[in-house]
Amino acid sequence: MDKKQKNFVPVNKINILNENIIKDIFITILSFFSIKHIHFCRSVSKSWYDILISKLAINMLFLVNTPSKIIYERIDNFDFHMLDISKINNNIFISACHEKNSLIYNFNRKIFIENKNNLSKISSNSKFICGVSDDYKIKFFDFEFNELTSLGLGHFSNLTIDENYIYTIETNSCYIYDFKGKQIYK
Amino acid sequence: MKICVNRNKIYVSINDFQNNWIKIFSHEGKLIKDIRVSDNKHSDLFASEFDICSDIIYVFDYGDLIVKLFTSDGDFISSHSIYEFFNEDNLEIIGIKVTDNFLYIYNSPDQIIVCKLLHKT
Repeated sequence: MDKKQKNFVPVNKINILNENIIKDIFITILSFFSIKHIHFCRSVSKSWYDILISKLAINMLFLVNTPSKIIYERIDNFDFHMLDISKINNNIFISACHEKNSLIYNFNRKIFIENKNNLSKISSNSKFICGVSDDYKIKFFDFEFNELTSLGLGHFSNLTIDENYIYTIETNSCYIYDFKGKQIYK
Repeated sequence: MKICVNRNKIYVSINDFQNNWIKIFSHEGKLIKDIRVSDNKHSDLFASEFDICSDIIYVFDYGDLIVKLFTSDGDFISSHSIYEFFNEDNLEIIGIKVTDNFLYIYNSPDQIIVCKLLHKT
């Protein structure tokens, strides 16, 4: 075999990502497996392991955000009564009451925020926070917990919001509303 | 019952007396997938507590004190026993929340168990 033939790489082995196409097909086939089985596949051989830890495989197989272990860190006890906890911008907030006063506690920054609403079922999107008050109204707040507006949507057992809608759930039914309180879907 | 929304899919936890489920619905109300979380081992009607973070569903299985992970499409990823994090005083779980690196289990009486998520690729 002369030098020219040795360096020849068949065109069909290169895809647009400049990765070896066999590796690409292999990862695509594995993408039909559960992530648990993909982890097992890493033990099959050195070549499979190398492929499955490659950047391409991690991105294609959704491995990047998957924790491999959950370990105990600590228990925090509180001298207030927790009503609900919620996640806002990757921080944990506790809605609580202490000696008949309602409060919001930023668990990560260890600060109290004044709030008189006894809020539960707190949810948020990129624009505001909402929560359900004692009188069963949905109240909207800015990220400093200053009240913006409120809405009455009747009774529901739970609620969440995304960027465009309010989602409530009641026995056997889920309701979708816009932020003006107009029902979009049931 | 608990409800979460992620990328236009609606996730609802349901206890139907026999099993605990997470049901995934489209925005128009079409059932996309049923995830069977566990048997209903206790004679109560608490739906499984769950949270969604970075497109992964974290479900707390009351029966076996396990956290089960699913992709946002409902495919099982893994399960993690957290039995040893509890003692007799803190078994009444109210809920879980997940941030990028931590899992928070909040329970009665008024405490939060902080667990670290180890990511290994």
